[in-house]
Amino acid sequence: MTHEAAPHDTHGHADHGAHPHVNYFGIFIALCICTGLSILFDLFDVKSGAMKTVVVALVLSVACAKAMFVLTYFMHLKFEGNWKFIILLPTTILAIGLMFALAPDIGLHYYEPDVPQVKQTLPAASIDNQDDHAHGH
Amino acid sequence: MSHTPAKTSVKMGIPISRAKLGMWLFLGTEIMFFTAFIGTYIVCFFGSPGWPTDTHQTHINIAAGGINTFVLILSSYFVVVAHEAMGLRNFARARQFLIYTMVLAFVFLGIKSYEYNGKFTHNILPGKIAENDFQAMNNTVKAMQSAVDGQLDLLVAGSEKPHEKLVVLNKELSDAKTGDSDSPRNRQLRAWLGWNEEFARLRTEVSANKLSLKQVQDRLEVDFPKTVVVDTKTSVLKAADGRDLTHITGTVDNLEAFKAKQAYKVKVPTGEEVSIAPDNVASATLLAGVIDLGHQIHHPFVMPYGNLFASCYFLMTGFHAIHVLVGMTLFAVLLMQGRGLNEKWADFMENAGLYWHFVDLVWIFLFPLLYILPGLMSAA
Repeated sequence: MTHEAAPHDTHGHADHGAHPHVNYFGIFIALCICTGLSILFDLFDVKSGAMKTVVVALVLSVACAKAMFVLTYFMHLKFEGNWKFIILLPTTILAIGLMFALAPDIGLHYYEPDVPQVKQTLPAASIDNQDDHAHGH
Repeated sequence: MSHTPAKTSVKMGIPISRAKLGMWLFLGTEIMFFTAFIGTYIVCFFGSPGWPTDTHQTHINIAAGGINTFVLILSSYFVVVAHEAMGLRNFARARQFLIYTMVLAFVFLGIKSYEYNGKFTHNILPGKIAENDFQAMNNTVKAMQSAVDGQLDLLVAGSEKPHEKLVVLNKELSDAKTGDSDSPRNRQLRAWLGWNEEFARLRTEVSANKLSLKQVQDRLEVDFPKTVVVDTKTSVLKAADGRDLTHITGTVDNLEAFKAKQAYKVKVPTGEEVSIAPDNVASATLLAGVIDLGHQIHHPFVMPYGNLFASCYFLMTGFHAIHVLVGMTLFAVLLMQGRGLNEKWADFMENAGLYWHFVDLVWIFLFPLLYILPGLMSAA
């Protein structure tokens, strides 16, 4: 790969100003619309668990879309070479991996966590049940 | 032997400037840095039954978060415009948009400070939130202690300890002439003694484990009413259940204005006048300066995982705010060049811009996670 430095490149910024013109205002409007959508989702009075999951997924999708707008156009990744993958892929994989690593112990609880906060959210056991439990031991 | 490298048409490595490569590598580490916080928050949020989602309780202000999102997006847009202007050698325009960006950064931090102030005022702080009934009752006792002592400081000037001031107060009351016994000052002192006795009784019963949280809440509603009603015939402020509160609240000064549904004023024992909303049910918190306990004591509440939530909140938003400050410093360096801003600063501008966009990027995820999702989860 050849990379001829521009004549003005006295500080090694050969790539500066090489990006095609982008309608930045359009991107800004798109970002505003996405933010409005997020707030709109917040106004939903979601009752069922399934619908809640859908709306949560939508909210996070909108956040991802906004992030892609910023990365692609404002940060010019659309116009950068493949080096962007060398830098961003490992960190992205590790970042996602971190959440998967934390999930079993903290997020999914393959065991019942023995913490006071969980006990507070459990329905109170009847006295009869407590007696049975005590006799069982 | 010559060490001069042979000239070659092939340039090895990544075809971007070293400064930009350095910035992107730094941003790579920043992704990991914030993912640690955000990932932990997500896992805790979805993995903790009872995680605080009531935005009224956590004092999460969705409007403030939404405005801040818009502010950061707009500032990001201004940064790309400034960067583009630098590329076109229009340095005056670049400076202009950098100034706009700086202003927006200050607006962002101002709104964030307002939000932080709400959290500090309501004790939504790590280690301060009650996660069970007993902690909630103890928090109330502490708040009452602080409020009662603070009121005593207002009544009896000086740096003596509360028990010493109590002696002074009692002496003043006992020395008062018979004719003066109903003076505003003496009524005020007696009112404080009444509060203090009530508080001492509550504190003793809480520490003896004689009260449930519900009983403490009920007693606060009786002794420190959150709502008061104005008797339009006598101009007297009463509790919602009809009890006379004149001894602690004073009387309505301008009943005619009240009747006309205009803002009216209440004269409080300290001699100050306090404006109250033009309806017959006013929040006791507006009676500031009365015996300012209604304002200082929040009704006890239990927030499971509240401390973990507060830790996550302040960790994420705090580090984000620090990044905003760093970004502002970078822009300040550019702005300090004044008319000397030229193409030599193009790399610096680009890298400062990349950094600022990253700050925006982090907030893009913080906003739904901290503001939108809790509201959605509490809707059910």
